[in-house]
Amino acid sequence: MPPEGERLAAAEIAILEEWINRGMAWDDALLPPLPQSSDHWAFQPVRRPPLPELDSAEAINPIDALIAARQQEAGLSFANQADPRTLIRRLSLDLIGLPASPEEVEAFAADDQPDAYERLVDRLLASPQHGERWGRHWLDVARWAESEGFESNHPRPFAWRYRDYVVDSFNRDRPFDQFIAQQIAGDELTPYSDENLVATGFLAAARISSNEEDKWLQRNDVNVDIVNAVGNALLGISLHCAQCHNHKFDPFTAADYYRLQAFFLRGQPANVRLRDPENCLEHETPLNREYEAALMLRESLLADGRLKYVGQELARLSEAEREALSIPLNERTTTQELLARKAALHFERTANEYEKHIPEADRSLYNELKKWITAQEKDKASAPPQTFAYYSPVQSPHRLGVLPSLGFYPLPFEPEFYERVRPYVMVRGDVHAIGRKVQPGWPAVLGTIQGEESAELRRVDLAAWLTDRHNPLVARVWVNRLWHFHFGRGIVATTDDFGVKGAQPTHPELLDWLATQLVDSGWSTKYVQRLIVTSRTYRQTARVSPAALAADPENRLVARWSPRRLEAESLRDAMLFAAGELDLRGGGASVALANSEASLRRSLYLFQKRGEAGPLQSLFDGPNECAASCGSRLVSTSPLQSLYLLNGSFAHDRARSLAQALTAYDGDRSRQITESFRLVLLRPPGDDEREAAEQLFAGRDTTSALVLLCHALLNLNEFAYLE
Amino acid sequence: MYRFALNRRQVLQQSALGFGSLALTGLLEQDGLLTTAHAAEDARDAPRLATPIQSVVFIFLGGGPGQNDTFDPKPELTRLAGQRVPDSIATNVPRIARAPLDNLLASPWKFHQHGQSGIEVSELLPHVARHIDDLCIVRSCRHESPIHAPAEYLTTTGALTGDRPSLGAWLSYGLGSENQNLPSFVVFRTGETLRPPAIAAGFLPATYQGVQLDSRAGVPNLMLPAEVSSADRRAQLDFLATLNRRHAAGLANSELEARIASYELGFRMQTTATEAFDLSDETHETERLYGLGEQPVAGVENKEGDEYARIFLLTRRLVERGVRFIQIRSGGWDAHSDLLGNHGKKCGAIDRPIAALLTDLKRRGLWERTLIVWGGEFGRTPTCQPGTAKPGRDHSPSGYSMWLAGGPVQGGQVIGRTDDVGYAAVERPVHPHDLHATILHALGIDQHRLYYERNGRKELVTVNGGQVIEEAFGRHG
Repeated sequence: MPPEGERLAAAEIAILEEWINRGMAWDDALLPPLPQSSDHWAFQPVRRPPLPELDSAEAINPIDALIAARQQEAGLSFANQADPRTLIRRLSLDLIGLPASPEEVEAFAADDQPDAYERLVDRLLASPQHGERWGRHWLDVARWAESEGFESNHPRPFAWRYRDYVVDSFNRDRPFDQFIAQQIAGDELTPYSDENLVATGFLAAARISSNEEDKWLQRNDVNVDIVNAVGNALLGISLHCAQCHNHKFDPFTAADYYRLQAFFLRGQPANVRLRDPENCLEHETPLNREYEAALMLRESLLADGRLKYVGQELARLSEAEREALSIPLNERTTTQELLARKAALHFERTANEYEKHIPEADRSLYNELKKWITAQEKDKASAPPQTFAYYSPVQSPHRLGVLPSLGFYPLPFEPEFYERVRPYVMVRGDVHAIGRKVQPGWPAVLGTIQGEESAELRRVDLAAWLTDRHNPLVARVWVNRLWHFHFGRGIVATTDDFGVKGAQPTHPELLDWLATQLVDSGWSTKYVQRLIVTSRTYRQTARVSPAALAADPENRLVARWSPRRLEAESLRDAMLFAAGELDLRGGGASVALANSEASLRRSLYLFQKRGEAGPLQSLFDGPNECAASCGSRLVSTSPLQSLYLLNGSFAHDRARSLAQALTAYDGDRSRQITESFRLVLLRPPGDDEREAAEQLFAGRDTTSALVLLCHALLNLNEFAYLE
Repeated sequence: MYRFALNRRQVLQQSALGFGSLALTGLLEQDGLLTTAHAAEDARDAPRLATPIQSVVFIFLGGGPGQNDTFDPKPELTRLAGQRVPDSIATNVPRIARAPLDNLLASPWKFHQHGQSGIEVSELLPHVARHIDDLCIVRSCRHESPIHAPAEYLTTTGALTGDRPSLGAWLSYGLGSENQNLPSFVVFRTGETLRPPAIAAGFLPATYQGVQLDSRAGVPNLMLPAEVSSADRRAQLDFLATLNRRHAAGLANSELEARIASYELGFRMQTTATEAFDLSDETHETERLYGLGEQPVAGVENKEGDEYARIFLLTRRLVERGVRFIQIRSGGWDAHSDLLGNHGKKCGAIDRPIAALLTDLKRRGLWERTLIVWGGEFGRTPTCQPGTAKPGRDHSPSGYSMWLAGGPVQGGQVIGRTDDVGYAAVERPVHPHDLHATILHALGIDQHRLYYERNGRKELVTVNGGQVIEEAFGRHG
């Protein structure tokens, strides 16, 4: 994709090459900085739009006025309101990820109070299942999973605490600015709380190639992952291009990229010890304390072994390498730094190597410790309360305990390393081709909030900038995500890309109005959600005239409801719910992979190992590798899905449970058919449907026919789609 | 003009309302539900290749077979056994992790010339060696990662990170299936556990991911549950169709139509896919050719039994039926210690079935429409891995061998060269991106014209582009 125009002469290319190889020194006095302004809409300040006049017959709230204005320009108008049964199923699946029960449907259909709908909305928003549903959306955005990814893909047995934090945050409507601050800088916030620490699981969700032997590459991959996630999830911009070169379309430079990355160089993901009493008291048994002390002792003996190993390896280095290593980090030239980095690679080995170098006198102690710890782990002692978090021993004012992780070649976790590490631009993204030094900072085009380019800036400052009301992106990106999750399509269709190549907003005024509502309500997500779902826009039917369909095939003007398939999790949960089998216990450690297929808990609680999603999740476009922030899931349709739902045991087992429940009406086939429809589709059958169902009973015993019927109902489009 | 991330739904929704539902049904049937023909319709590049192939068989040898013990003979390695890599050679060996220079290890196997071309092949592969005049050996494969997973992802998806679509997913997306009743990207595995990103759809819709086949049971969930008869299922499907049609009326939603069609397709697959996996119509002669029901090589212990024979025979049947991409995964080539035992067993198990596939494709007229690719994620060091009881070799991505055969490939030739001990590629290095560009080319696809638009970037199979190995098709210069 080279730019148009004449090619550079070979001699010119050679000069550029030489300059790059020498570290791309940039003389700001001689060379002008790149233009750092943009007229792209998304980078302009959010402005509260003037609201069109509210026509009370048409509009319930300003959302409707703004939507109606666009429809009128195109000669369209709102579709009728959907019927109550459709509405309660829609609201329930949307707000809590579960269909309503037949009783709830009947009660709602019979409720003729004017505020019946609003009361339903309030009940669902207050349900503990709401956080499970909307937390799942955020976990997609956070690329969260419970294993390291890449080759070794070790589990992260304590990552679940972040999942519970997210669920809890949605349930209690944690202000979105606080939600961001905790996730970006929880370990820096004061006073200390476990909750703040757990929230950094957002940063820690990065994949780690734990058997990568090149520690610089390994660390850099994590840093790149974190910066990309922050860019996509919060700013809605794809920064990854700027990792290697100035962004081709968006006004971000490679320096912008590495300035942002500089915020994250001084810490890393790790299992970190919790310390709030409510998380620790239960754990405080003498045996557990002894076990934890043994863990710490083992780590310190290993550190001794490592020290000795390093000493021995030092002797094998060249004179130049030793010299480079001896120069303090911030005084090294680029060449010395590169040499030192290469040399330091010799020191990085596994625990297996280090333990061979533990001083003779401690060797038997170490071996005994190892044996004892293994024995304790088998049955008696429990792991210390901990969470998979992001922790900087330098930037955090709190001294926290780092516990071992399962990685084969874990990341280095030495406070002195983080004390000294310095940020550089990496040429072409190559970790071993460092260019000029940079300071922490945010993309210049997005404006400055306070003193820029200071080595003192920490992640709390980044969080403050992100959540400043003048930040043009964060509030827009979040309300757009909310709109996308409610309607299946964002006001900006490319939810993770608000850049120049992203989609234009279909309703820019609405986007800005929602953004101001978010900020003015104290960053209340539920406030915005309530605005959206109580609007007339949201309550429309999907069933409109062919002319209306043809006028706006993609439904960009939202003049009807667009049906959409349930996500993998909702499909599974809805089947369990309809069969009366769903286990609603929330929170805690995830259900082990081996028990996933048989588990009756919500899909959110099944252990999420990267690349090893269960069949339903993997067939129905659910999260799998979680390699990057994912704001909108794809929908693909394939015969393997239908084969799974028909011949696989999961749906068949649900059908059997349903049929079992229907034996209560044995002898009354008509009632059985009615009830089966009510349980699965939340409505009675039509006459032709009843007739079709009757045919399944011909020549079959009642039980088999009921199983066939229920199994078929669970496979219907009507069941698998949210209308 | 921008086009945001294209997906089936959007394409089909537009088509549905643009052409009416009859046209949509036709589109679905023709494409077996699988193709987003939008990006791919002009990707075929027929003029460059008169008869593009239809199917790719990628024989992936996980763990990394040693080039020095298979297709890259080095008399100098035998001569220098036990010594350090000479400085003149060592200067060209990339300084990456796990590239020891001490203690060169001679191959325990002899090489002999074969065929008209006289290309030398190790005595480990006597059956494949007989086909040497049909093979195009690339001795100069090279990349930078000596670690299994990233190297495997680079080889199968084009990136170290494991988050991009596997080549088979790309082809399913770009070309769809020739057979509506079978998945277009299938995977057979033996031995080692599968690394899922190697067969994943990455940023493409999940439909395009590789379908793991069991060499006995075939497509997953194909069998009816014990208590359900075929008549039961038919009755259910009729019920489903009636209610689904009633529900879809007035919604004009192509996804709903696609889902209705997918149930019928699934039902048809129960017959067609079962038939594809039924080997009872194969002759005894064919069974013998592959070694079905036998130990592959007398006296060689082999835990896989005749599984390879079954897999390669099934592969031919799937090629016959138009399956687009078949990834055969043979695990366990990671010969850190006991090279002799490891490669002896692995080659003994797989040599005859591979040769049988080559023979069978030829005699059935399938040769011209099939490309066969053989190789691992990297090769192995010519030096001995330190500290093992029995001699073995470490990972080495610096210069290793793969081969191509079938279709327009010109056999009986060697491309590229490694140094005198077979450590690093010194002539005509070939990167996995070049390999992918070449495979696409064989399919008649211009690598720059098959793309998926994501976040404003046109994503290519070859990431930033590879170079077609023109010599493989007999074009030089």
